[in-house]
Amino acid sequence: MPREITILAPRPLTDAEILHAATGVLPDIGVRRINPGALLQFAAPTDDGVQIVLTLEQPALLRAPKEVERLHPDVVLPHTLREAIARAADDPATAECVWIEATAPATPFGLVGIQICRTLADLTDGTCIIQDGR
Amino acid sequence: MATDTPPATGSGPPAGMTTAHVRQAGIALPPAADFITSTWLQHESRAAVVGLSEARSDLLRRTLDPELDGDKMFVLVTDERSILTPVMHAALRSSGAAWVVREDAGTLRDGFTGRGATRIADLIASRSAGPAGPSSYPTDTPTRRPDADPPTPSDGAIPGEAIPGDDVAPDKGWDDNAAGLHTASRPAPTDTDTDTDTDTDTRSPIFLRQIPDDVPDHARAHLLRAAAFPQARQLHVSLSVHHHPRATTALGGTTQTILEHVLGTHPTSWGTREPALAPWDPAALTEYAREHIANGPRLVVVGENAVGTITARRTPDGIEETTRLWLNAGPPGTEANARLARVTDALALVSRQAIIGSGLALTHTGRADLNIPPLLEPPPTPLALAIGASTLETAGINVDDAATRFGGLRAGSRHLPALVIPLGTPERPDHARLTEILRELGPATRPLQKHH
Repeated sequence: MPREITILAPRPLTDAEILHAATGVLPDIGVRRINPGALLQFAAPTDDGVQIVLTLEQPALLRAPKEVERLHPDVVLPHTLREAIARAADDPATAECVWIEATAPATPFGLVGIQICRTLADLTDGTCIIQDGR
Repeated sequence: MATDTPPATGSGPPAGMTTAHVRQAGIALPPAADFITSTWLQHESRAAVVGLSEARSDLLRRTLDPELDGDKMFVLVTDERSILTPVMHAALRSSGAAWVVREDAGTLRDGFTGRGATRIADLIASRSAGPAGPSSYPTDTPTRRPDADPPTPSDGAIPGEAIPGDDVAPDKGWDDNAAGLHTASRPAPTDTDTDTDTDTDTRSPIFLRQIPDDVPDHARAHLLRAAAFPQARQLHVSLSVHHHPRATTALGGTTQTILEHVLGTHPTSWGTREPALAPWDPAALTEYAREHIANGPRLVVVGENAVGTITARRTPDGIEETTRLWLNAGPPGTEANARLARVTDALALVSRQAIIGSGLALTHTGRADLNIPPLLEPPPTPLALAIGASTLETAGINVDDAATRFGGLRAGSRHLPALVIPLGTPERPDHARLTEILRELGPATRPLQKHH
């Protein structure tokens, strides 16, 4: 069962920020793009190869704030993020908030992926929603 | 080091086969998939609200693609705590996928029918053999496999996929209170309460909204919370319209008209998946559909108290747009009923703005957030039927005669008349009327009758 993760951030993340966050969690982490570039996948080296720790989807501009409430009704957003999302509703043309979906395996390797996502959320004063039934 | 071997009972590949085995067999495993066997692709989620995300959409697409996993059934596995968005629910039903619910006691059940089992393989086998009970309303066939022909609204069939709640038998004696939970001392509907031959013995008591005595306290608390969730009169509308292939063609009109006329609101966003994050923009939506028309694009639309899908497909003489909407008309009561009553006029209005194929409006009481729990829901009540000029002509039906005979409205335009027939109200459901009308309308509506 994959852990489903959603990162809501008040601004887009750069590739450099994502890679920095990933190597900050696991210095020898591997990364590749799959599905013609649509997914960014991170892997941890193991004795017998590699194990996937995180798959990040392309970010989507969050210009419909009510979708957060509809799909994550129990999530309480940090104040700054809530304000940024509200601004996106008022002026979608200049919205910068992003919605990023990710999956991490429900194994100890997946905890590395979760830590990367949390780091990315913290970096932007965003939030990281982990849906693993716990 | 932990392995990703799935649990042995109920969830894993066939006995003796682990995820590692599957990988060793050289089968690529998409990130969101748990494993792939020779007959199914399993995806387990613990999301509170399971929507048609990019990852799930991708997995579903794989099981519809003969070059990928087209010979396998997509199996969504959740526990009691997950609910599905209507969009996700419809996507599963229309693709013949399965929804398996892990009960807290360790047993499993079919999320659509409530049929219980101890192994996922058994549930899949039973789905292949047919649904637990006959569908009471025109729907896509629940067990349709990817190689089956899709329903064709232009042939006169009601457009769209299964309507939430339509896979259950109309249980007499329900007070239309979807939240109503039966305690162990208050029996749930039984065989004798139904109009069908559904074998209720195979259905999980939890699905039937009973709380067995041996349910753990935490599970009991969850079931009680779920039962207390605010309820609403839901309106489900499926309607197909035909567009000539012109540069000025715009999709989304049906969605706008129905939301505005019934709820007094507007669509707010659209997208290709859930979440639908782009601001509502019919021009952009149409452009996307035009660019992807070869693949029959399915778009998600969202509004205040509304969610839906728009699918588009090329026909020999244009584009067919099929809209499915789920609306929250408000808490059960007179105000909600007044909104529901507007749907007949809304269908007539669409028929004046566009060339309609066919359509159906239903109502039932369900969650106010429009999401679908893994529980038995009250059967829907037919509200209105819309039939376009093409079907009327094929059936040799004079629209004025039919309007008089069925108490309907002549709608559409002078040259392309349509018929909109009120079928009932929440207080006065008339499940037989739709059947009678379809029978009387004759062979041209056979695709409708087949599903009814």
